[in-house]
Formats: sequence, C-alpha cells, structure tokens
Amino acid sequence: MEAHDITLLSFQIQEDTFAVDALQVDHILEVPTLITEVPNTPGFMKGVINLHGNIIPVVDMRIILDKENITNGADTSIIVLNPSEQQDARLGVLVDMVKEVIETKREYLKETVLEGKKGMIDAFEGTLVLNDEFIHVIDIKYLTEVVVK
Amino acid sequence: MLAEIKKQFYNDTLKELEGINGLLSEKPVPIDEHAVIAEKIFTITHQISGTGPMLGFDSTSVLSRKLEKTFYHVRSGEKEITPQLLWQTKRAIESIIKTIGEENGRQ
Amino acid sequence: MIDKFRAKFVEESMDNLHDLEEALFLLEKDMENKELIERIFRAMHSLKGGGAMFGFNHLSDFTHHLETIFDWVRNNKLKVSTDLITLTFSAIDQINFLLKSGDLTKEEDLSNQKAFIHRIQSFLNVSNAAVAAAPLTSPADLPAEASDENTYLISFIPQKELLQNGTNPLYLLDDIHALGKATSIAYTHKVPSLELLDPSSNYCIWQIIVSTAESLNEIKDVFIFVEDECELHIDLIAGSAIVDQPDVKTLINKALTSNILLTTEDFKKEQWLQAGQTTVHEEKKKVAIKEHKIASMRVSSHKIDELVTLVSELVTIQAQLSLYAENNEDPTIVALTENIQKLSRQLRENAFDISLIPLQSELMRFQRLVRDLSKDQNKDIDFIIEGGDLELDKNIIENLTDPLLHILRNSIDHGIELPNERIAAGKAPKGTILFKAFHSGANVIIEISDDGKGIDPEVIQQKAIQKGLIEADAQLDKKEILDLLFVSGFSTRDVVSDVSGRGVGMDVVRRKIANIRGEVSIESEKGKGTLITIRLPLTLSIIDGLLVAVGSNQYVIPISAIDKIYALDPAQIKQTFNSVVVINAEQYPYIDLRKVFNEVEKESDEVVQMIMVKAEDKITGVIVDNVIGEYQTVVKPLGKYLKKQEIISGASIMGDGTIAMVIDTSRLLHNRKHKR
Repeated sequence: MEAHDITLLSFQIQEDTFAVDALQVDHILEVPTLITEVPNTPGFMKGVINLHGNIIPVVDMRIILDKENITNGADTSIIVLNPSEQQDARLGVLVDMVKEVIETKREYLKETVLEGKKGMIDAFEGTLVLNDEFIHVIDIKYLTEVVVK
Repeated sequence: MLAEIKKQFYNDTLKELEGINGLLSEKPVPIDEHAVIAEKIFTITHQISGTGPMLGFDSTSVLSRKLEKTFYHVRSGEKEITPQLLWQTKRAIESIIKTIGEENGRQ
Repeated sequence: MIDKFRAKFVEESMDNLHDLEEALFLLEKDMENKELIERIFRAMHSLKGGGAMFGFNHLSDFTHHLETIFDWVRNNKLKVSTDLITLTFSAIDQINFLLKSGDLTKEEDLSNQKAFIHRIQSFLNVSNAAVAAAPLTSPADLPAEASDENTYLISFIPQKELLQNGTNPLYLLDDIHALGKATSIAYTHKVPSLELLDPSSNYCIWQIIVSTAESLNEIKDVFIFVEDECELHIDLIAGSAIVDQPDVKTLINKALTSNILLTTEDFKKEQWLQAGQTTVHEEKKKVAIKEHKIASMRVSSHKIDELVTLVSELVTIQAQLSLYAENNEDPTIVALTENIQKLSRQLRENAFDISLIPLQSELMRFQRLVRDLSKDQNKDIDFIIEGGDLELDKNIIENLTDPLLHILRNSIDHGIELPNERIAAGKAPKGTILFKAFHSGANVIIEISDDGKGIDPEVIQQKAIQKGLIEADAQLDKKEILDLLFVSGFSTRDVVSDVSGRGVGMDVVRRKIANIRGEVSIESEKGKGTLITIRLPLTLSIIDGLLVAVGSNQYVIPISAIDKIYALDPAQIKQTFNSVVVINAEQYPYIDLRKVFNEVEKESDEVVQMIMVKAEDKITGVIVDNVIGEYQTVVKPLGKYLKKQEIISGASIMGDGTIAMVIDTSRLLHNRKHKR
C-alpha cells in the first residue's frame, strides 16, 4: 500500500455522512442495553461501557455535532476508536448508522465545506465526493482533543 | 504444517547464523561491535535452544546451549570477550551451521 | 539496534550502582572486608568495560580512575578510609549522571568531570607517597610479572562423546599452539583394537605444555565449548618460557613411553617455579563459577503489568461464570466453576506477589540522605532500618520515595539536635532515626521515629493563629494541633524552619500519600522525639469494596475507609442543619451522594444508609440509597477522557458485566471541605 492510500469507515449522522480513518477503528458495536452514566460529566459523554473487561467511555457524536431530535434506532451503533500513538485513549462514538469501508487516495479529499451546524468540530481532514455524496472525514486526533477538554 | 514451521525455523536460523559468522570473520572483530555481536549470539542461541528440540534439531540445540550459556555470562559481565573466545565462537557457529544442515536433511 | 543495547546497559548499570552503594555502606562499617572491596572493584570494572563498549566514553574514562583506586586497595597498596568512601559516594553520583546524560558536551560539565578526576588522582598520589614511605611487608604484594611469559600444563581429558557434537579436538590443539610455543602429548593407550573401535567416539587424552604471554583466561577460552564434555586442568608450572628446555623434553618422552600423565609435581621437582609462587589451581575456581545458578531473573515491568492486567480480566470473567453457574442447575458446571474460582484466586495472588518489590530497593537512597545530611550538619545519627525486606506494589513504592525522603530530611534538619545540644538535654550525643516497616492486616505500616527535640504544640498553635488558620481562642487538643502541620496554608518554609522544627511541605507529603490511598499521622513529645506513621494498602489494583446504589448507578466504596454503617430515617436528615447529623449524641458532618452526583432528590420515606467514612482522622457520613454488599473488585482506570472526574478513581466490572464506579473517599471529603 502506498502512503497516500487511505481507508475510511463512513457513517451517517442524520442527513450527513461522515468518515474516520478505518485503521484506527477497533470495534463496531450495537448499542448495549446499559451505558453506565458517569456523574458530573458534559452532556455528550454518555457514560462507560464494558468491552471485554475494559472500561470504554462513550460519547454521542450527534451531541458533539450539535444535532437536535436525537433518536436511537436499530441501526444506531458505537464505533470504538483506538487512536494510534495514544495510550489509554480508546473511545466509543455513538452514530446513527455505520455505512461502509471506502478505499481511496488522500489527494481525492477536498476542502470541507459544511453547511449548517457542526457543533464542536471545527476542523475536518477533508471531504470526499463519492457518487454525488459528500463524506466529511473527521480527524480522530482532533476529536479526542475535543473530548478531553 | 509442522514441516512448514521447521522449514521456516531452519531458513531463519541459518540466515541469522551466517550473518553472525560473517561479523566474526572480520579480523580483528572491532571492539565497539563486541556488545552487539554478543547480544546477537545470545539471542539466536537462546532461540535455537528453546525451539530447536521441539522441531527435532537436537544436536544443534546441544551446541547452541553451550554458546547461550557462555554469552549469558558475557552479557552479565562475569565473562570478558577475548579474541580467543570469538575465534572459538566462530568455530562453534560453523559447527552449528553444519549440524543444523545435517539435521534438516535428515528430516 | 545499538540503542536497545545501550538502554539495557544503562538499566543494568543502574542496578550495578545500587549494588555498589550497598557494598560501600557495608565497607564503611567493615573497612578491611576483602570481599566487599573485590565487589566494588568488579562493579567499577564492568562499568568501565561496558561504558567503552556502548560509547559512554566519559563514563569509561571516569570509572577507570576509580577502578585503579580499588585495584590499589585490593592489592593492599591503599587503605580504605572515610575520605575514600566519601569520594566514592560522590563518584557514584557522577556515574549516575554520566549514565543518564551520556557523553558530556557542556563546558561546565566537562570541567567538573576533569576536576573530579583530578581529585581521584590526587588521592592516588598522596596515598602513593604514604605507601612508598612505609615499606611493604608482604612479598605477595610485589608485582609478580618477572617475565612476560608463563608456562602452563594443560591436561585435556575428553569424554568419549566429544566428537558427536561436531568438535574436532585437533582444531583446539592448533589453537593452543597458536598462543605460543607448545608441545602436545597424545596418549593413545586407551584406543581399542580396530574391531571394537567406534569411529564416532574419542579415545585420546592430550597434554599440552605451552609457554605464552597470553592470559589464563585466553587459554581457558579455547576449551570453552567443550568444557562439559571433558575434564580440563590448566596449571601454571613456570613463570617463564620453558617449553624448549631439555629437562622438559625428557619429561615428555618419559610420559609418552610410560603413558602416565604429567602432573605439576613433576615440574616442581625441577624448581622452575619462582620462589613465592604457588601452583594456581584454576580448576577449583572454574567449578565455583559453574555452580553459579540463576536464582532470579530480570523481567521488564511492562510484562508484569500485562500479566496483572490479564489476571484481573480473568478474575472478572470468572465472576461472570460463577454468576452463571449459580443460576444453572448443572452440578458439573457448578463444580468446575468452583475449581476455576480457586485456581484464579491462587493465580491472582501469585501475580500480585510477583508485582511486589522489596522496599529495600529504595532504602539505599535514604541511607545516603541520612549519611550526607548528617555529615553536612555535623550531626551524629544512627539510622536503623527494620523490615526492609517488606514487599510492596511497585506503583506504591514509586510514589512513596519522595514523601519518605521528605520526612527523613525533616527529622535530620529539625529533629535531631547537634551533639552538644543533646548532651545538654541529657541525651546520648548520637541521635537515632528508626525506620520501621511491617504488616498490619491488609495494610502496611511504615513508622519513622527520631529521638530529637520533638515539636512544641504551643509554637504550632501560635503560628496557626498568626496565619489565620484557626481562631485565637480555638480550643484544640494536642492531636488537632499537630494535625495543623498537614494543612496546606501552614507549612510554608518561612514559618517552619525557624522554631516549630518541623513541617516543611507536610501537606505535600499527606497529599502524595493519599494519592496511593495511604494515610499519614504524626505524634510528638516535646524534647523527646517525633513519630510519623504511614498506613498503606498492599496493592492499588484490587480492593475490598462495599457496593452501594445511588440513583440508577452502583458505586464501590473501599472497605478500608469505612468505619460504620447506620440506617437513617430520611426525616432525620431533613431536620438537620448545616449538613451535620447527630448519631449517638455525637455530631458528624455528612455528604449526600445524590447531591454530589446531581441525581434527583429522593422523595420517598424509605430508609437511607449512612456510611461513616474515615479519612485524615476524621469521620464523615456519606449517604447512599442502599448498601448492596461486599465485594473484592479489580479497579480499572477510566482512561484519559474522564481524568477530570476526581471523585471517581476508577471503575469495576461486576459479575453480571455491569460497571460500578469506585469512589475516592479522601477526594470526596476533600472536595466537600473546599466547597464550604
């Protein structure tokens, strides 16, 4: 694989499609019956889950992106990210639907122009246009920084 | 499956041993490389002693165990590296290369 | 590649330094001890050698000078003195520095190093003069190298199996011949007749007489890979090259015809050995080396951490299995589960045991501190250690060192008086600091006591009033007054160092110890001394906890922090004022966890539970909805995203897979205080 090849995992948040670097995705889970709430945390922090004996915090991507009318359905999933070059940094991200794995090249990414609200995420790695669909690529490092704050 | 593993082990080990043999063939072996060579010899012989018997390389393991023991002491500072030791080591490694070849052929 | 080895060298050298320091301490008490001197010399030697090998040239150069000193000492050319030991101690610090920084580049460091080496050298010059003035008495001290070459008799008696592992004995003979002038004698009388001969066996015995300038080690190395398959003797027979002498030739011929092996005795008769030299029986030494077994081995702490994590996971899964078995009628599963439970408990205990390290490893630093500070301040202090072999969790020890150093420093600076002051106070001129570590139930207790001037509660109280920490008319008992030392506003340097005699940074000490779930308390008698007691848990990763419910969540409160549990009628709390509840005529402040965790207030009149939690010698009530039970749980970190969540120190996975959060009681109580 050449350096400019990238693999993305795309997912749906309401009407928009986003993606993250697939190589930093550890698991994709259904939403468990119980997410243990942690008191005194910001609203996007939904709580912690038990993943094979490890405690993983879960954030709601929809709240981070400042969406309204959030509903959980059959397709709602948790993408567990394992950011490279960071320790103890696994993070579950709640999304409306996981879509597909896309192989593409970095140079196909265009500058992101996102209409409407994007909540706490100010910076994207770029946007991929695929079959007339816009896929906004979220920078995982940036996301974790937002969550730590 | 086992035959595969054996083949892999034989090829890998042979390559390592020949590499070390090459290093030892320099005359004299540069002093600043002693530590690296000692570590390499210890690692490879430790590996042979551990895996060899499982795969039927019995004589090879007997020989490598001797080297392993000696270089264990070298690493811990109990034993010094002398030109003679390196010379004998080179010879022992050549002997291991020969034996591992024989044992590989026999299987 | 080489970097990895360098790192390993540094790591091993640190251990080496540790050994060195230990040996020095012992040497200071027993200055004639040959074994210790040898140990120190060897440590220096391997630092020098390793340093050169791994590119620590300044280190190598530096230790070379020290090695020379101890070489002199071991050859009785120099006597061990307190000055020498002090010099070596500071040299250890320099070595430590060199190991950490690698080769020096800064001008300042280089000149320091130069000055230091000069100090070492001047030591050698002075002592040299002294020794020269006093004539040597023992002839053994004379340099033995009358000639460069020595002659050895090598007896090489292989076992039959020698040839089977690919050894060609003729190569070995060649190698010996390459060392110098040599003559070999092959004894073939044991070779059987042709029909009985096994071609893969060896029947020969060899003796070689070699005159060489090479060292004995060099000769021994020739046989290094055959030493298990042969009997080998290497004896020094002469301090010069004698191989070609006619008398030797005669002996060889005699041996060849008689098939009787030559012995060192044969050569003694010929008087080749120089006066004063005895035959070196190297064989004995070699046997001693062979018996050197590996009693312990080095495993990276990372691997241990991993093992402990895996075992923790196993414990969690096992709890799930037990739960499943309980709800299952199958007797086989129940029996199997019980066995697994037993095994995993043993495994867990074992794994935790492995992760413990002895306190001893840090004690050297304390000894150094006491030694150096007491010398600086002209105080005479006996530092006694009891229970140094006690083992603790690695993480606890790492976090304990600083507070302990702090406490010891206080004892020396402000506790122990100068010898004349002590005599005036009717005490022995030599002060004592006792460091004592022992087990007490699931806790470890460390006590540091001194027989110094103690703390005057009067002074402390006055200072606290000045600082505005307490009211001028506050009625405090002695314990409460001493406790003020731990209050952060109190222990500033300017307050303490003059009169009160203690307390620099004691708040920091308490905080650091609280971080490892420990507690610290202080007792003192004015004029008599001070005792500081530290109570610690055995391990950080597993706790006995009380599972409680608050709102929809479950929490774990460490049992070690719990004093009592009371059931309360909610009405009792509603009537209270200022968050104080009266139980058995005693007043206790309390915290409602529902409020802390922003849960809705409970409306029903159900009985709530008040858990009395003790921290920092105070008891505070903690209100929870109800108590579920007592569990032993593995505490897992919450990870970096929840670091700010101070009251919760971790989480625990329960048998049914749900998560309960572990409450850090000292933080909980601490935060409450600050809110008020």
